[in-house]
Amino acid sequence: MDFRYSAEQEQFRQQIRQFLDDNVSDALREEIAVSGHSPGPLATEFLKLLGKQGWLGIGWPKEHGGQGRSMIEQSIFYHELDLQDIHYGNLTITSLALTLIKLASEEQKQQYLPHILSGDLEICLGYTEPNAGSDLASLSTRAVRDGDEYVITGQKVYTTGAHYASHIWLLARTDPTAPRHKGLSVFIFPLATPGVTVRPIYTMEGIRTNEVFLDEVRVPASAMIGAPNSGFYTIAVALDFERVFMGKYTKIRRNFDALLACCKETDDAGQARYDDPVIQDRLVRLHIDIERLRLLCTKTAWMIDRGKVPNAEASAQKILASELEQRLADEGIQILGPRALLEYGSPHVPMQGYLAQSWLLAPMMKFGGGTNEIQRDIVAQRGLGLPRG
Amino acid sequence: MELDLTSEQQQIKDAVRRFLSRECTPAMVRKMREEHAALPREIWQSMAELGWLSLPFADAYGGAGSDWVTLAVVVEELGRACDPTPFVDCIVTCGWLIQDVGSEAQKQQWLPPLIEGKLMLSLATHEETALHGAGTPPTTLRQCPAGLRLDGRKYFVVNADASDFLLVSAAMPDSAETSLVLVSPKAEGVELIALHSLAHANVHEVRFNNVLVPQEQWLGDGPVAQSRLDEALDRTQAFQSAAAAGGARQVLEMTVAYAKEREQFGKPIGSFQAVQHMLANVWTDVETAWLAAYEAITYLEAGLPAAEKVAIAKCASNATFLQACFTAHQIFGGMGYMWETDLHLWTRKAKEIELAYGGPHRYRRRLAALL
Repeated sequence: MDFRYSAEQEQFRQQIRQFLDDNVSDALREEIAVSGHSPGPLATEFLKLLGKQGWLGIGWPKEHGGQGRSMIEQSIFYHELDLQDIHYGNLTITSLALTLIKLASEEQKQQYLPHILSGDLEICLGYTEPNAGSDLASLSTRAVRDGDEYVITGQKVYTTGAHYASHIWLLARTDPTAPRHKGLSVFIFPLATPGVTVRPIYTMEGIRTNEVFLDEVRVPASAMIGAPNSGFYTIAVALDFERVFMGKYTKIRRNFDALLACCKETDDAGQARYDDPVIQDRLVRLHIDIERLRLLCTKTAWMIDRGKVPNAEASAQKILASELEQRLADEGIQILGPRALLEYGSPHVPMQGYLAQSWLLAPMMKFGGGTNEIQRDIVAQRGLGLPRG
Repeated sequence: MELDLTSEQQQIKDAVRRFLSRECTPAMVRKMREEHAALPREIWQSMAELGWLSLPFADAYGGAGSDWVTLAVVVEELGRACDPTPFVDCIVTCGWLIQDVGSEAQKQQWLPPLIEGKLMLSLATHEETALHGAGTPPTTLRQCPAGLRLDGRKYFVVNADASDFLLVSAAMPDSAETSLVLVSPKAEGVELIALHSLAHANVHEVRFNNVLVPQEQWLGDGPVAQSRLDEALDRTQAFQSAAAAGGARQVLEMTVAYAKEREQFGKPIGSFQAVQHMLANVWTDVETAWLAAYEAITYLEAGLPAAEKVAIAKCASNATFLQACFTAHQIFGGMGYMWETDLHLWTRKAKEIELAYGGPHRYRRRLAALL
């Protein structure tokens, strides 16, 4: 048993670190901090640079243009990005591409993967509907076969990224007579297809998400991923990958380290917040829990490498990460006082406003990607074998 | 990176579990605890014959010199069985300390009978807060013409009445270092006073009143750095973390089995979301506590800096074991609370090992200093 990264993996980390040191500018960090998760010109350029370097397909098989490295190396890469403040939430790469590799036809892989790898193709997720949230299988968007095409009609909501993505990955009902889970299929098609309308909605954090209206949108039958009516399985695979990604510990670690550094700064009287044993203990308790999350992240990456599917583990990781992010932001603001309420760009803002931003984002992390209650159901039913209610 | 056990380690784990499910049943644990009794020697003898008492010791003394993960899986399984043995105290702590600091002659003298199950040892180092503020003077050792003289009191000595020797820490006048001596509990001037803890463990206060200790029972033939003892206690904590993770996993499995079987409102209570979510939380805690314990153990084995890993493993595993028990009580209800039921055996154990060899506050203070 060995918890350490191998010498080659450590060397790979150094290589990435060097690349990021050379290529991540303060201007890029600033743009990411203010752009509200919609990539600006520098971020788009940087994504293409990553693609050119082959960094987007680290864990992909070589035959699809990837580097054929392990999931552990792929996760090292994302962790290093986080440590550089490049909070890179691109599900196209971290979840959908891996799902395509696993489930798409050869033709579809040829069609999409090279463009994903070069950073040209970005996909948004069309799952949630106004009346289908946690109970996703009750969705009502319909795709009806018409010759070589499907005709899609319905509405999606909270479609983050739909205003800049090139494509949508959409779950629709293809067999209304089948049991709810068994009549759904996944399609991928350009958002520029006639009949698609994207409208903005703004979140509590101030960032843009969208609602997407589909009015008799015609897509070729070849836009379907996987077999007809197997869509619920397809998205389960994608969601397992998504949760592993949402449950990363590095951003939380980075914010914790920044908070700790703030607490150790001394004032004119030579006093530091960290001198207070109450504050020490709160930070120590957070530190212990971040380390526990790190260990679980290590385990899920190792499992994926060994060809195992982490489902209870992925769900647990998402629960821990989202709840820890909220606790860190909430307690961190308490420890630093009212200044920590200030947002990026304000005078006197500590930690570049991370705590404030993270505090506003945290509720979404707990209900997004499947609510933490659904995750606990998964742990209990798939992990512990408890009966469905 | 490798997070699986080797097939040999898995085989030992299975063998330990089979043995303990036969020899260390909850009924036996209960009887020992109700009577504050020591482990039957036949069981200890069988463990010696199976080779488990030899695991951490070098070949030269009859040991197996095994890897640490193998030892950890044994300790984890003992924790699962609500460990009624003095294995951790006797082998992992005392025996290993003798191997660390003893002279060659002492190792030759003490380790072979220990490995053969013929010698039982108990650690007697705890003196601080037992009588908080009462100001008991520290245990001291003085040279005298006949050898050494020991005076002082130690608390929470496990299994003291059944052990052949106690491994006692003491200070010498004018020395900043620590002395470790082996003292028979039957020696003149040694008094054992039984303590009655909620853990139902067999624990004693031991008073040393001008006890004569032969010179050759002074480990290392003189004082040793306090850090040697601290290192041994850290190692013990890392292995205890595996025991706590094992205990927690056992309690979780018992609770899941009960929740699947117990019906209310016409269905198994394990189908209710409120119950499922409590158990999902425990499962998550157990997974991460287990990983933390083994990470600390493998770091120690590799000689890497592990002070932080040990502290995290200690805090995580103890909190997890307790939380697993508290959750189990909530789900078992009366069926875990009645005297004749088994669950509370683990609950008591969880609290006992939380405080053994230094409680979580000490380790959080360490983390505060390391951060």
